[in-house]
Amino acid sequence: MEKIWANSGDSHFLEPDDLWRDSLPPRLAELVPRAEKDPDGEWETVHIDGMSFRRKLPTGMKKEFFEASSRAPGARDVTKRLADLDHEGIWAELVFPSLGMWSSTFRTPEVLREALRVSNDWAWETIEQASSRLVATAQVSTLVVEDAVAELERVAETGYRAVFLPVSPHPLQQDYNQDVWEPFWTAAERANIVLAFHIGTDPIDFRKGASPGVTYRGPGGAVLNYTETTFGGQRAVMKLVASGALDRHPDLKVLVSEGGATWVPFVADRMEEGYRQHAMAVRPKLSRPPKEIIYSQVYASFQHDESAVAACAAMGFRNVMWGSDYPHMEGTFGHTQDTLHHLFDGVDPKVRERITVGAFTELFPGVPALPAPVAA
Amino acid sequence: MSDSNVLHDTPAEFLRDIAQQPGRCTAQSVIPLDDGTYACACSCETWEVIAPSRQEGLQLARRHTGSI
Repeated sequence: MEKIWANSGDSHFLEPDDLWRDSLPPRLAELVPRAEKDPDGEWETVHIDGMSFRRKLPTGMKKEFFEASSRAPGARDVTKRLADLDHEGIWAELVFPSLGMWSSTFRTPEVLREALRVSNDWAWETIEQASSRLVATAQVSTLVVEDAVAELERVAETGYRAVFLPVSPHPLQQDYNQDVWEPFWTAAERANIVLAFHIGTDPIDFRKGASPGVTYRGPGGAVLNYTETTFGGQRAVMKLVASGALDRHPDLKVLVSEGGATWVPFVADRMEEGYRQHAMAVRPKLSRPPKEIIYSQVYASFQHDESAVAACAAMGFRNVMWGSDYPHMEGTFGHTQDTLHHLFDGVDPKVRERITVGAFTELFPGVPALPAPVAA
Repeated sequence: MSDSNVLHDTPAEFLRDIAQQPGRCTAQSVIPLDDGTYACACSCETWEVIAPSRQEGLQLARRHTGSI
């Protein structure tokens, strides 16, 4: 069987558990998220910025799920990671953080700002510098826009090419369609940094005991809740288009990772319809049609969705990118080649090249070319 | 979702685990109030108390679940 090499627009790395606590001054370190188990081993407590949450530890099927998610040897070891990637047929990767997903739970701006600064320095040295195949995402505070701009400009100087953004900003900050974010979009465009949204990162206001957006219970709950995580990325794109942010910054690129791809033509059509049918009420006016903005500035990654190939092959949306979601349980680790052959056998080679290689290198042109094919 | 360290979940997954088992004592929160006290609550939705400190709130939570 031919080995298919593919770049991944959606991968993850597990930082050291004590990265923030070991790197920040004590007065800040005591506020960053930390988990500790009760002596009975049945409960754990998560402390976050003055708040505490205690939960019963997973057992049975849940525990098996956890273990399946950490089985990849390179989940937290870069050398082993590259061996995993070679074996799986994954070439270059966009690598998202793990600890940073908790950013929305911080309440103290200084703690969040300094913790993410630590993460960015660590990820640059540990991930980005380890191999030219790895593209690390920087992280910024979405609690204070001025902090976000300052850190974006700092990491751009370092050499970062992408910044991770949750699909909605911090609960205490205004939404992405508001003018307060304009300096950040300006800075990202100027620095040529890709805005990398990852689905399932809807912020949670723990102070209010809020549930994570729409949460289903009862029959079908697991599938309903997983599918629901997809929609935040779509909403983020809608906000950036409708508010005019992408129109004002035509060189700004957006990637929505792990959210599939056929939603892009769908949302583009709906926004086109809304812009035209409600023209009298539309503010701001855009210099280009919404669909043109989306098709030229928005990219989308998927891992298993069979229809995603058709978004590129049959719907005119070329910015479709494959992603492995390594090392997560929902990803392709252990069956990447089966997944790639299932998706691409019989597909036009130009479409396959675009999805597995071309869209990624268009966003991140510095990554090395694929290995030369080896005769079987 | 990644491994057994809860911090390698996302907060949404952490809370969703709790939400999927309503009425059961699977999680408790201890949240500071403006007056310096702490509001304590359980996912069983039948237990809500005010504690003078975070540590005391956690102790009350452990007592509520029969852990001590």
